[in-house]
Amino acid sequence: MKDYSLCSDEKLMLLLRGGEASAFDTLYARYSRKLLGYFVRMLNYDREKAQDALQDLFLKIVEHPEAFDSSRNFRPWVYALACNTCKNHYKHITRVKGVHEELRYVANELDERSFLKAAEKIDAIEFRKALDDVLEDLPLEKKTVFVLRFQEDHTLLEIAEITGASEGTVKSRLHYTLKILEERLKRFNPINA
Amino acid sequence: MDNKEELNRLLRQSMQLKESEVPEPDESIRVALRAKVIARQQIQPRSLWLLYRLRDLMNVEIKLYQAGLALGVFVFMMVWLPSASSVQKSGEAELVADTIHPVYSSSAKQNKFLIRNYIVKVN
Repeated sequence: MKDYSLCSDEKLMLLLRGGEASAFDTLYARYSRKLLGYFVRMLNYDREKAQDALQDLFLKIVEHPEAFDSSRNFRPWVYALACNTCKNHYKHITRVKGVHEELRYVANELDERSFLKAAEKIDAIEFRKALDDVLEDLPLEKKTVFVLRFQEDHTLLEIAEITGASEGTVKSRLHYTLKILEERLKRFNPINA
Repeated sequence: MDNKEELNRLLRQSMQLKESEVPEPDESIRVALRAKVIARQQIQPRSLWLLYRLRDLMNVEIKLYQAGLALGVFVFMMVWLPSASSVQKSGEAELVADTIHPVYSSSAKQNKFLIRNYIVKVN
């Protein structure tokens, strides 16, 4: 098996076009978990749907690698595919309950020696739960921009490329989301605590 | 929440998924897709290599202004080249010059040679 770990994503896509299986392995190892995390968040923690979405996405890449323009960056392209895949799956999702309860249990287990730490942790979990509730209520395009910015750490320019919107639109969507978050999460007062 | 930087940091921190929240990618997906990639290799015989490269070449994105510029240059060349060559034919000039040494190498029979569109007679 060839080692392509030093190859760029773009080069790997060219090799994939030629049917190089090791190039596919490298790309899959680089992106599968990251993209699965994105799908898990976008599809409201439905892991099964997230796995399906991941499969759909990589199937598109494998079946039509020529759709990738090798003069462009792979990362925004693959996230654009991920966004489109989400749109298809988004209609059929239901919120998976219990994930936060599970986290609360984990926090208690980890911090049972320190009551203060545990309290902080639980506060953080409550904040996280509230954040997820807000995200769940957001329209898909605003949620996409927010997740790409704060979870996946993309720049505004990259988000514009991924979503096909202008940079101004991305900024305004982000501003709108932050306003809502500020309003709905102010009871936590996390900055001044 | 007036401190924007602090809010951003907090949101980034809260948006990070825990290890336990992200499942391992399904191994069976990778295996099935890998098989598809290998199948792709098999349906690309080496004799069709040139065809695939040509197809890749055709996939290159060309902007409208580039196409327009290329068309403009092409039309200009099509119009200008025939007219330029007709001027050359009609405007043929004759240059006669004496030489110290007779030149035989260019035309031994007529004792003259051609420089571009000039005819040089050697006496």
